[in-house]
Amino acid sequence: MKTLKKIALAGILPAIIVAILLLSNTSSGEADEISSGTYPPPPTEEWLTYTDERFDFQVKHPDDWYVEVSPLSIDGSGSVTISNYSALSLIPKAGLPENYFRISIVALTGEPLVMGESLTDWRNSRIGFDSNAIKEEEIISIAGTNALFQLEEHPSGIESLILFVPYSNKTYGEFVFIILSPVNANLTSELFWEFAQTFKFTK
Amino acid sequence: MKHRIIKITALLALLAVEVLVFTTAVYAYPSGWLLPMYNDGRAVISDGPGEGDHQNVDGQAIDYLSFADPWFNSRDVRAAHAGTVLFSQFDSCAGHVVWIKQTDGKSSLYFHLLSRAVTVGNSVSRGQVIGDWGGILGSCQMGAHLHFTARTGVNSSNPIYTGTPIVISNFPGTGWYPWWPELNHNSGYVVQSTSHSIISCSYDRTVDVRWPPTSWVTGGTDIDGYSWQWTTSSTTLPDMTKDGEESVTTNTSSSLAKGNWYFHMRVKDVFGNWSSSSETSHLGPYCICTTGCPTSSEE
Repeated sequence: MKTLKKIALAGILPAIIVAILLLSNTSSGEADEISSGTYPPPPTEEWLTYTDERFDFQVKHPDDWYVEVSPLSIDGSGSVTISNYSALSLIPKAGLPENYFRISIVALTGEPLVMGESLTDWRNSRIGFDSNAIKEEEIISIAGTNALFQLEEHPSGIESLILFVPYSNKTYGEFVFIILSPVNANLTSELFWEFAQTFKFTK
Repeated sequence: MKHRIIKITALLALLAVEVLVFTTAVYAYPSGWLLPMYNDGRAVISDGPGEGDHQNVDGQAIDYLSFADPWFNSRDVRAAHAGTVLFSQFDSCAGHVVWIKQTDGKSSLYFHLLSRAVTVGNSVSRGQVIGDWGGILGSCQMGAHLHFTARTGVNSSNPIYTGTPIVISNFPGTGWYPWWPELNHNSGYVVQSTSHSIISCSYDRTVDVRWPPTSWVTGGTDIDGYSWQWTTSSTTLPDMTKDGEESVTTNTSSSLAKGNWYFHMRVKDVFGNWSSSSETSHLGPYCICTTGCPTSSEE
């Protein structure tokens, strides 16, 4: 019996050691990728909080990223874009950098939800979009409210993730936020959700 | 009571002066459309007709932008022509979009706006600010720029497929950077004035213009020099005698007489070819006035 235990230990211990080594290598590899500046680490206490007093929301972002706030439109709508590149530094002709990420939050105040209107109906009638581009859509929970999520895939090959979030959990009478991001890598998708989960209403 | 009448009279007089100043300040535009960001001419065109995604049905579109461009300081987007706003909406792919229809059915479209200054049904005048650009909102947008296109008709189901495209490079006052035949380039920068605006008159009789160094322009190393001319015609073709080498980037007119003036520039390439009339840049008009000119107090 003791012999069997010795054999088992002799077999298992090296396996555990190898597994630990493999896991530690994987972790250090990921850490290297993050520290190279390709993408930010997941949201932590160190992320800064952007508070938008125009539209009563907060979202977190890495401290060295660009927060670009738009002027208001004639109907009172406004937006903010958070990115690791300044918008004006990107040359359309050159294509986007591989490590590019952005998330735009658009508050369409001129298009409130009316009573009984679903987010899908609101989207269909209030904004321009290509219905053929929608590959997935579902209702999910964000910032304590039900939001419409959709994945778009355009003929140009661009994919994007979009959330339609009614203001402060109101089912009608208020405006809708559109949170969107183009997707150029699987990791970008993860980042989108990490950002989206920091989105909160302040009122 | 007497004081009150005097005050009202003074206010009316002041108002009359303001109305006079305002009405005389509005420059009489030439016929035709203008580029949508001409205010100070401080814009560049990154993708012209036939370049990038400007293909097929949208083949005459242009992209305006500013990248590391120290000249640029305005984000206003202006109506290329007078008309009615048919469409003013956010699009998840394109960002804010405005569509303006002229009375004859021609229409112009402005994509990737950062915000909109007009709503559906508004009447707009040529040159009126309709929004601004400079950011990225739409999920399909690759960099900050204005995508501008114009069509001969109106089809509400898909404006891009409405009628046929209008050749934007034929707009008056465009000041398009001259193309050169060997490379057959379709894009470039806008030649612009640093001293005068094309939307107002000036007492200043000498007009300064500048254009980008060849190093800014794709294929610019093949440029050998320029020929230019100032005239009161909008379509003059400069001769084939070189007025400046390829290193030159500015020109100042002589003292111009009262009237509307244009700067014309064509380019010679290192193979000895001169750009044709259709490839020549015509910038203007620059209004020179001698009396009643509202934009300056100096004679």
